[in-house]
Amino acid sequence: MRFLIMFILSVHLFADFDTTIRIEKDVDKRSKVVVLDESVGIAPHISGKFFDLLIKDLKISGNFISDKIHYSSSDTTLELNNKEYIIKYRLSLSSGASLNLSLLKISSKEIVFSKEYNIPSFNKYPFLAHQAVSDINDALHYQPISWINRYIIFSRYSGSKQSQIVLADYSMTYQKVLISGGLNLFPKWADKNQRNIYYTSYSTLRPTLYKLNIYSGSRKVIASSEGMIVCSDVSRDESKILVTMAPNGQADIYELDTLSGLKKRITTFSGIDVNGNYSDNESSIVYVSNPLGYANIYKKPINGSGVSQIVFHGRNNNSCDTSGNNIVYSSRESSAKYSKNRFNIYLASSSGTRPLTTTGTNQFPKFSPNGKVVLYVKSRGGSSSIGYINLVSKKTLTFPLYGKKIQSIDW
Amino acid sequence: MRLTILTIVLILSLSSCDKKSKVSPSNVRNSTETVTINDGGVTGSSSASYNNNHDNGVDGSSSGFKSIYFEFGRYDISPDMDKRMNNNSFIAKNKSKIKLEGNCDEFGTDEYNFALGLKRANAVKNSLVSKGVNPETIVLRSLGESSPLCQNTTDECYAKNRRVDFHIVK
Repeated sequence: MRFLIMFILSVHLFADFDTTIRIEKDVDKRSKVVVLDESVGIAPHISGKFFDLLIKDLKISGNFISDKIHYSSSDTTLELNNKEYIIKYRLSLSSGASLNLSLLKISSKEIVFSKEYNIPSFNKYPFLAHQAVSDINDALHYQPISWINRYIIFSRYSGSKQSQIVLADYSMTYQKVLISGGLNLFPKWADKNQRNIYYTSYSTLRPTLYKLNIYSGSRKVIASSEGMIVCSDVSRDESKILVTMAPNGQADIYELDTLSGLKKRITTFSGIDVNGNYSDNESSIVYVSNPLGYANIYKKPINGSGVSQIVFHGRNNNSCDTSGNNIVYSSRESSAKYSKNRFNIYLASSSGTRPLTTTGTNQFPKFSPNGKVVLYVKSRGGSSSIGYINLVSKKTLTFPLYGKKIQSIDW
Repeated sequence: MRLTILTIVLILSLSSCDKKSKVSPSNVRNSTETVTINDGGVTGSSSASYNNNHDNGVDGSSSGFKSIYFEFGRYDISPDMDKRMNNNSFIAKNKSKIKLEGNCDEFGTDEYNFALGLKRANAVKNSLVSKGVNPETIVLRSLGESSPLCQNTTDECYAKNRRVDFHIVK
């Protein structure tokens, strides 16, 4: 009798917990490739770096499984068992950099794709790898990964009250200092084509927000504010920006019309309101505020007053980014004030909230323009790296960051 | 029609220049057949147009002022800073322009830290005004974590970076 009661109770308890059993079969649709380097006369360290870039680009796409052996044309045998494609390439570094690359289908010996690329600056050779892998990906009709061709813009500290604004490829292999001298911070792409940036200059007593054309060098003052001014997001049509500024010593989020110069105050809380990001088809903002005494993620309509708390965990959630209605944010999960802090990146979407990282200190989360990949900066054991998480394929990739501390980053 | 002809002429003129496709590293979505672009090789520079010198070398403030220190994550002035505030307000009353620079330790991220530094500077300004200093003589700036006094990984060191510095604007 006791057994019967226990049985009925158990059935009742677990009935609501999982009423259906879902069987999923994971079919791997990735293409299996082997990469053959036919370059001649390339210094080994460049040759190795370029091969690594190709392999990493293939990996983060989520659409390829590549052999990690660096085959060269002198290798007499290639391990082709279970492989579908060979990627053959020849890198040349005379008069800039050029790449001749083709994709061959092993079963049919058909050339699926072939192209020659050229770039006038030797230092930009990483972009050859990125563009080629992006093209191969398109040739096989996978979801586009054009984000790997984009520039990253970031600021890094170079001393007390000194910083640099740097242009880089997504792997940080190519880097070029755009602005140095003094304190120049918070670079943010001003347009989809990556021709202009917003950034904050501290060269005068009032921090000033500039828009800089990185090709012509022309620069325009957008606004200035006592205390601080930061551009945190740009509207889709690029005519409006969200800025944190403090005309009266109080940091709040404003929407600024860059054509008319008109500004609208969106937040009015007497504490800290920063890091505004457009949401809900640009009718709302998601931002960081501290009404509960610690930084957390909130949302409010641009033309309304209701504020809603978005995140209900973590001890300090002090940066966020949006893509459509998805939100990524960093969350401090340990109680330590200082160095033993653990920050993780979370994704909040209509299907719930899930962690994207589980170890180390992970901050500066940023969506790719298509919202499919998240960039972040990871610090662990005294070293830092830039990380990418492909939300579709779940593939992750990190590249080491050497030296100076990153202040802000955008792509 | 005119647009089509223009496009064809443009394509022909580009292809006659160089038969290799050129990579435009900036966000080329659909095609690599584009003219290679400038890489944004603009090197701007800027220099401070005011005196930034921390001339006493002790706590980040200059001209006899004493920096005001804060607890982790806070922007209220603690009672143990009263003596320093009294000293600072006495000096500030005789100055035509002073600058308050809010600073943070390295924890937290960029923008939040800048706002936190500003809240600290604003708290100090309000305290000065309550002690009779003309608010028109005070300028605020936040430096976030960009101006650390100490870079060791100790609690004492982090505490030195959570401060507001005072300087005379020349």
